[in-house]
Amino acid sequence: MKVAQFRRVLAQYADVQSAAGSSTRSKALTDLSDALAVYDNMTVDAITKKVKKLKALDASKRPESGTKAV
Amino acid sequence: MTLHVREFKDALHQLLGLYEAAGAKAPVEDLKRLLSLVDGNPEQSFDDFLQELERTLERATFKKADRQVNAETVKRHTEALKAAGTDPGAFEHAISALQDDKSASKEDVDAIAHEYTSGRLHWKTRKDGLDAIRTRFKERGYQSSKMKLLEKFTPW
Repeated sequence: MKVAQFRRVLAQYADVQSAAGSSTRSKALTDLSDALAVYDNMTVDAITKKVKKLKALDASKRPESGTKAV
Repeated sequence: MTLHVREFKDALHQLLGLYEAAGAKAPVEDLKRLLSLVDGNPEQSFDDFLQELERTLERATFKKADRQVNAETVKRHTEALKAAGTDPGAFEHAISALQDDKSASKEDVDAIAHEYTSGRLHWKTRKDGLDAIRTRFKERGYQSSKMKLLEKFTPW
């Protein structure tokens, strides 16, 4: 699914949450949707894979717990 | 009130449940993908989580031919254009800044035009994207002046 379509899913649920009085949840969903807006023509799969890859790369660069940084 | 990652995950799980019950496979798979990214500290604030996600995405380069956008450039120009509202002077300033910004690629302009017009994702050329933004601005101005005229009428 393209991010653009996925954002519509999030936006609809944000409306539902807003109507139910959960304004913080609604805002969070809207903020997430806005943050993804520039990737609208990419797939959610591509985005999530890329984020996971970068996170794994960061984790591998971090010194292991219990070891002292030189 | 601060929303925590735990509460945000609850909301996503609820949404996932709704789509699972409806048998909609594509949103279900994508919601699961998104949930797999929300795997950090459940007590972390959602705002912090979102900032981390944005920072990670800004570092990402997508090799697919469809897009290599500079998120910072897109955000800056989109905000300037939207902030101009229906003010022609402010709009001209914002659109000229975008037009003259050599660092804004055709893909960046596509993303900005998409955000500004709430329309299509791609235009044939960079200029077509800029023209679409100008057209949308004119439409907004027209709608705004129409509303101002209507405000002058008193209801019967």
